[in-house]
Order: sequence, then structure tokens, then C-alpha cells
Amino acid sequence: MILPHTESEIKEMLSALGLSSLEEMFYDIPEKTRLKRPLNLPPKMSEAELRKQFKQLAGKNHPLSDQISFLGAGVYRHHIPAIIPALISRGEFATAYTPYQAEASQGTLQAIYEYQSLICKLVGMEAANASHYDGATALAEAGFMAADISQKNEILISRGVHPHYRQVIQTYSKGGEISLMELPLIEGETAIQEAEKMVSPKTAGIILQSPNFFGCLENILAFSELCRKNKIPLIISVNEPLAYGILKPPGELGADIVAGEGQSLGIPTSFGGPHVGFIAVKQQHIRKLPGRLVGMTLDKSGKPAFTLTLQAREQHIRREKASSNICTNQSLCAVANAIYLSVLGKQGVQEAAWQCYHKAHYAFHEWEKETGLTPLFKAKFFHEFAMQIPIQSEKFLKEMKKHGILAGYPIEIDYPEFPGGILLTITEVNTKEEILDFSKKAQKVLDLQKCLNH
Amino acid sequence: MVPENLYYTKEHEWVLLQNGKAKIGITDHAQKQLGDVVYVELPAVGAQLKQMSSCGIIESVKAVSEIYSPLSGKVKTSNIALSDHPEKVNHSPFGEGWMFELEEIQESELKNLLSAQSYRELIGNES
Amino acid sequence: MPEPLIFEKSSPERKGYLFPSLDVPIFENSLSSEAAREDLPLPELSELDVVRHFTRLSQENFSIDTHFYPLGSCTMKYNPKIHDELASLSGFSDLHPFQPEDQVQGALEIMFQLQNLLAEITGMDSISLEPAAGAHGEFTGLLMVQAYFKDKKESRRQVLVPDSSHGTNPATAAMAGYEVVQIPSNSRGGVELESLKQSLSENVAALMLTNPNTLGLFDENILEITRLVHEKGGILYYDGANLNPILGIARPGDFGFDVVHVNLHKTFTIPHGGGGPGAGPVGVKKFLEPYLPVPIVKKKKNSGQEWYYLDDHYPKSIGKIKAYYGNFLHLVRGLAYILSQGAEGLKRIAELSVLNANYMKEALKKYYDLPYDRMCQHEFVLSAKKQKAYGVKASDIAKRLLDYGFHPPTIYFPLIVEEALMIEPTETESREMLDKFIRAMIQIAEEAEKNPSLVKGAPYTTPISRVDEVLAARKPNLCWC
Repeated sequence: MILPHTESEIKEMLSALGLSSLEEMFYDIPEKTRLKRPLNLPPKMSEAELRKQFKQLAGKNHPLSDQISFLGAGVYRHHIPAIIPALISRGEFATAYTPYQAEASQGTLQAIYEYQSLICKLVGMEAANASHYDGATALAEAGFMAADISQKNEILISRGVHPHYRQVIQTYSKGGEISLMELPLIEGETAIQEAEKMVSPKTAGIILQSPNFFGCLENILAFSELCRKNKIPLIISVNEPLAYGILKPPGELGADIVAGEGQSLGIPTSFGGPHVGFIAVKQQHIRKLPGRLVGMTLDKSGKPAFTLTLQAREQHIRREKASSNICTNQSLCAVANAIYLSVLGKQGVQEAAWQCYHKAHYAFHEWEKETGLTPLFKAKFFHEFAMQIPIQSEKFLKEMKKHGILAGYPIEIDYPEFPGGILLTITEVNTKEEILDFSKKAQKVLDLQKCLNH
Repeated sequence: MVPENLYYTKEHEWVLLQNGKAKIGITDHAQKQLGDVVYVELPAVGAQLKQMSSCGIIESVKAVSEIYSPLSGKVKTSNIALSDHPEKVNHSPFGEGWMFELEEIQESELKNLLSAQSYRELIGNES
Repeated sequence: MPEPLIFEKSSPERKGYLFPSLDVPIFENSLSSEAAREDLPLPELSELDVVRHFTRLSQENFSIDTHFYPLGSCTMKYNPKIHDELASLSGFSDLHPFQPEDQVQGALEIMFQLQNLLAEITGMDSISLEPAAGAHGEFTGLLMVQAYFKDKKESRRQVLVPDSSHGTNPATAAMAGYEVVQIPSNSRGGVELESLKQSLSENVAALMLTNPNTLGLFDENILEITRLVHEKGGILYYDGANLNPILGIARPGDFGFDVVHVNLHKTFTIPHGGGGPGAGPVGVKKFLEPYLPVPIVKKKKNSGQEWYYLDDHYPKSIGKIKAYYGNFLHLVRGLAYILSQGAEGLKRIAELSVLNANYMKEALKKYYDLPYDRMCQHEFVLSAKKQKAYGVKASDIAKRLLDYGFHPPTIYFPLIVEEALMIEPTETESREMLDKFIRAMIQIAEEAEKNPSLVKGAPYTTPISRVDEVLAARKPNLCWC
């Protein structure tokens, strides 16, 4: 990109400042630390050269659309309506700053207000923030919120929560606001009996993910009863919000905070980011919410209008006493979520969710019947389930990849107690043909391995 | 407006002594500085406070300030009306905008507070 | 409200998106009534309804693409469109973070290259691309500082921040478990050295500094500051929010900073998106490398071929700070920007951002109070003190600028300047645009004097007039129910 200044303009501007060179503007920087050499960077490229270079780099990657993929584990491929990239790439959305000047930002503000409302409706809550970095960081800050609400600091977190999320909350806990205890799993579900034993007067809240990392639906109701009994908040972590197109939302089952990831709702997998986190709460906790909030109010003439509100909780006003340090969030991705939920609407979201559900259950039974794979758990699931491979999972995945299939996520990376387990995800994007193809190739791979072993 | 019958703090709280209990709020000067109060967080009933410890917050749209307890004592009651009507702090800082009441106070701590006269001087200097 | 809410445009049974038909049998043993939801209260619209709705909303925004946006501290420079084209290539956007390494070599190469180039630009030894934003980078940085001292078995409880610092600095320090100590500014807008000396002790873990600071001024005592902090064993943290004006001119690492975060969404022209997403890579000197968040992208030779891989073998790492590996598509944009500029281009960016700022500052200082009258870097801070005498505040001037077709500067920040107007033109604006803005500011100064109520009633040309923020905060309505 070329800057607009001509050489003669630069001269004129310098002379208006009484300077004769650009260098003089930097005399406040100690001479000995001023760089005496050009930065060691590759030579500059034109637009055409950049395009060529990046196409080449992109060509070294193998996008999901060029293969059959049953990979999920927290990041999900769904159909993305064409209007989403078209609308969010409009410069008026993409190149605006944080809407601090309400009169000049009603577009972003209203879109975010709608986003907050749509997220609340999907998960059954009453207020959501204007987005967070991602599901993992949203969950970590939800943990802080729980500690703030209960004025205690020990959080019980299920082993069924996405391993990256548990690692992130572990990192966040190093600031000392919370400490973590792990709730064990039984048959892929968080053990309520263990939780009952572990809850103590020190417990600040309980974190559960549903559907959990293995795809299993958790018994949210049982945990919300336990939390209510102990007067501590229940936090539900959500990796796959689309599931709540058909499942009873956490808000109706007694969750106090729902924190999760919105990537499923219209955002490409993007090698892990940008995605978008959300935190939604019941009305009584709104002042404990971290991050920006958009509220509806009136303008001077009495017209409905939108503005950032409750800003006195935030870092730019409260500094070290703020509820969080977050400033930049994932606003544009939140707008993508809002567009997704609007254009799919009630019926579209239900249909996407049901298709995931039916296809995943079809695959589950098909693969159980036709291949040597056996389900790891009996729990109910949405579109993701764990299966046991009779051979090393690494070997299996490698062979399947040769057949053009990404056959899931090897769970023993994070759960050594399940060697040979893989996590398989089926969304509406997968076809019956792909599911049957998996069966065929899996049989082939496993048969071949059997022969080799004999 | 600085009523004569009250004690004051440098942090702009006032104290009204009544039957061995202390009623507390923020001054007219403080509410003017803050502007439109939008939210007040008060100490929980039963909480034991130390003199000049931070025990609550007052928010306006673009500012936030802490409430300090002028005396040590136990919170007997707090003005719950403020949660729905924080504007009372602006409209009637010494009346309906009161914040909380302390019991089990120590009168000896009163010597650390300002008289109306000294408080008037303080805000005179500030403005 | 010119555009109704999306919910108000809903019509029962309308559909906006067609899915391929379900090609498998319906799973009969369906959800029980306890598990299934009864109602899904989402709106129902056609595709065109939704397109018009969000298009109209977008038109109610000011943005870089439509308006000059001299928002101080935010570096609202033009975001080249080619970057968006590159980031949307399916070879980047359609990658799953758990794909096998051999399928994502191009993505890892991009990250590896960006790590190296950012290290060179900032003068650091190692970079993590994981943090999603500036404040997230700060948190990452301070957790590394904490891990380092823990490792050294030193207990340091305080973090120092100047009174001109971004709010994120003290907020981050508190989140990382530190006590925050504020250092006052001196008469030239820099760190008050005497106060710094007094505050320094074996209890200080780090000093967080933005330089040039939020007044747009380069602290000429920088080497003395870094020396003093190091002398007491403390760590120097560089808030990279204002890196733009020193690109290729000087490097934080050479001043003595040990940890740096970079805002790719400011200096490296990632579109701001109405508040995000951003990207906040963090750089460190060698001695802090073991504490970096995992994974870091590395390169090795694999049977003669270059092979990129994710290395999470950092036993002393603070752990993961975000799921997966950072805001990857933004890393594509950031790298494209650096490659499109080269060394000369980056230096030119710094120079012209500083030239633009000084040009405006000189033209405006006759009309507005300039509390620190000296050479500025990429931004400068005016005060509306003179106008306040007529009852016109910084916020009034900001609103009036909207009527002139400009996005206002940052106002009421930094906190140490009364009625602050913080102006950052950036290098991508032409002199004509600067002149237009200057004329508008001069005219508003005149209006403030002669017709203050005109300014106080602004804006008149925006979709809405001033909003009732008190009502918004007293009766929060955050959800359409």
C-alpha cells in the first residue's frame, strides 16, 4: 500500500513545523538507541506479489472442504450462509472502532444488542456481554465471576470440559482469584455423587460443559439442584451452541452463568481463530459481567437508541478495580453470530441442529454395526461421540487420512485413561455417502492391520 | 450545603448520630462531583466494618467512587430503596439518599471525623 | 431508531436459509421431553430481510472506509482490502486447529515467519502469537513475569504504572494478582523519575510503560527508567499500543524492555471490527522464553525438507492463554502488511504518522489549549479548557465534529489532562484531509465562543441525537425480551 504524501507535500509540512528533515522529529529518542540500520525484513511486495505468495502458502494447506472430515472437538464445521461474509466485510462494520461515540455507531451498537439478545434466547439467559476472546477465556472469566458472586474461590470443574478450556482457566487462575479442583467422570458424564462429596464451604461454583468434550449430554438439572442447595453458582460451558436449537437450554435447567464459544454460529474454523466467546447470565448478575455491554435507551428526542452502558465496571474507568482487563473483544464475529441466528432463524437453527443429531446418530449406529469400532460411553449425545479403535488410534487416523478421511480426534492426547479412543463429530455438512465411506475405509484399514498382525 | 449537626470525612461521607447508632451517606458536594448516580452498592447487613475501610461503591455514568465507612461498627440496615432509585442520592443526599446505618459504634472514633466547619473548609479548598 | 430490531421484523414461519435435504433416516429414539426444548424464540425472516437489515445498520456507522477517524491511541489507519482477500482463502479459513501437521504446513509457516518478523521489529528474542488482544497480551506478559519470579523464589507483589497509562495496565496487574502503584507524570509528560525511584524496591515485579505514552510523547528518560527498574531486579513491560511511530526508528528491546505486546489491530492494520477481534502477540527476551504460553511454532529439517511444527514442550510455560493458537486469520493479515511494506515502508509509516500529528498539532494549538507543547509522536492531546469557559466541553466538541463528517478524537483520556481531546491522524491520511479536519476544529472553536449552545446541542446530522446514558445505566436493558 502506498501512502498519500507526495515529496513536495512532505517538504511543505516539515517547513510548517520549522523542520528540515523527518529525522528531527525523533530527537527525543536517545540517539544511541535509534536504529542505525534498516530492519531485517524481506523486500516489500506489491499487491500482485502478495497474492501470489499467500496463494502459494495457502496451497501448502489442506482445507477441510477438500476431504472428508469428522473432526470437531470444540471447533465445528457448519454451512455458512453467503450473506455472513458479505455483510461483515462491509467497511462500515469491519473498519469501525469500539462504539464509544453512540451517535456515530448505532449500526454496531444495535447489531451487538441484537447479538446479546439472540444469544440469551438460544441459551435461555437474560443478559449477555458484547463478546469475549473465545469460549475458553469466556469460561475463565465466568469462573472469576462465580468467585465474585459467592465470595469464595475454589471452583469445581468437570474433567469433561474441553481440555484447552481447562488449561486456559488453569492459566487464568495463576492470578490468585480462583483455585481449581477437578470433578471426575463416570461413563463419560460428570459424577454427581463425587461432586456432592467435594462441595465444601470453600466452593465458589461448579463448571460443567454440556454437551461435554466427549459429546455426552450432562445432567445439568442435578447439578443445578446441588448448586442451589449450596447457594453457589452453576456455570455451564458450551462448545456447540447449535445444540441448543433442540436441547433444553441451560438457563431453563438452572444455570446461573453460561459461557461458551460461538464459532459454530456462522464462523469458519479458521485454524482456531478468530472465534468468539460469550458470557450470559441471569439478570441479578449483570453488574458482575466482564466486558462491554450494549443497552437500549432513548435519545434526547425520545427515540429508542443504543449505547455502551455500565461502563463504570470496566478497565478504562475503574482501572485496577475493574471486573476484568478486557477491552478489545470479538465484535465482528459477534455480528456474524447475530446474522447467522437471524437468517437461519427459528426453523433454520432447529433444522441444522436436527440434521446434526440425526446424522450423528445414524453414523453412530452404522459404524458400531459395520466397523470394528465400539462406543466408549452409553450416554446420550448431540452430534459427537467417542469410540474405541481396536488398534492404535494414531495408526488408524494416519491410515484413514491416506484414504482422504480425517477420522476424528485422538482423545488419549488429553485423556491417557482412554488409549485408542477417538472423538468423532458429524454435522449437517457431512453426507450419508461420507458416513458410509468411513465405514468402508475403516473396515479396510482395520482388516489390513489384522492381517499384518497375523 | 453542609448541615451543622453532622460529622464528615475527607472522603465526603456524612454521619448522623442517633440513639447510639450512626446513619451514613455522602455529601451534597460529593453527589455534585459525581453527577447522575446510576448505581449504589452498599455493605451487607450484619457486616463488621472498620473505620475508613472501603465498604461500597457509587457509580455515575463515567465515574465510580468508593464508599468508606466513617466509623467502625456493625451494619444494622441499609437503604434498599437506592437499588431501584439511585437518583435519591442526587436529589436528597442528606435525606432519602442515606446509605446505611451502623450499630455497635465506638464514640471515641468520632474524633477522627471532621466538623461541619472543617468540612466546609475542605471543600472550599477543593473547589 | 431508524431501523427496527430484527425481532420486530420477524414473521411466523418465514425462512431465510435452505439446507440440503436430510439424507439419512430420522433417528427414531428421539430426545425425551426432559431433554428437548419446547420453544426456540428466534426471529423468522427472509434472506433479503436480513441483508437489508444489517446493511442499513452498517450505514449508521462511522468507519475508516467512510470517514476520517482520528481516534487517539487506537491507530485507525486504512486497512488494505487485499489482506481480507488473503485471509479468506479457503486454504486458511477452512482449516481445523486439530488437523495433522502435514496438512497445515502453510499456516504454520505463516506463524513462524510472523514470529520472526515481529521479533526483529520489536527487538525481542521470542514471540507468542496466542493472545487475542492487547489486554490479553498484557495478562500473558505479567503471568510470565510472575512465573519468572516464582522460579527465582522471589516474592514481588507490586506492579508500577504511570498515571497516564491505559486502564488495561492497572486492570491487568490486578488480575495477575499484583498490587498496583501509580507513578505521577512530570511536567514534560514523562515518568516522574524521583517518584519512580521512591517507588522502586525489591517488592516491584515490573513497570508497565507505553512509550511514546498516551500523551503522544516520547519519554526521553527511557534509558534511565529501564536502568533504574533493572537495578532493582524488576522487569520492564512495554505496552505496544503506540508502536506505530517508532517502527523501524527504534525498538523496545533496545530500550531495555523485557516483555512487549504488539497490537496487530492497531499498528499492523487489522480492521477493528467495531471493537474486535484483534490480536496481541507478546515478545520476550531470552530469559523469559521458558515461560511463554504454548505452543510456539518451530521449524526443523525433516528428511531434508523444512518442516514446521507446534512445540508445546515448555515445562515452565504459564500454560495456554487461549484455546488453539491465536486469532490465526489476523496473523495472516498482519504478515501480509509487514511483507507489503518491507523495512523502508515500515519506517516511512512511522515518519509520516508523526509528521501528520505534528502538522495538526501546530495548526490547532492557537485555538485549543495544548498542555504539553513539544514535539509529539503519532498523536497529541489538546484540552478543551478554553472552550469550557464558554460552557463547551470536550464531549460537546466531539459531538459537533460528527456534524462536520469526522469521527471525533478520543476524549477524556489520558485522565491527567482536563477535558482531553486525543488526536491520532495516522499516516494513511492525506494533507487535504488533515486540513479539512483542522478547519472544522477551528470553526468549532469559534462556535464554542460565539454560539456555545449550537455546539452543546450537537450532533444534528446523525441517525440519533445524544443518548440518555443515565437512563441506560439506571435501568439496564441489555436484552430484547
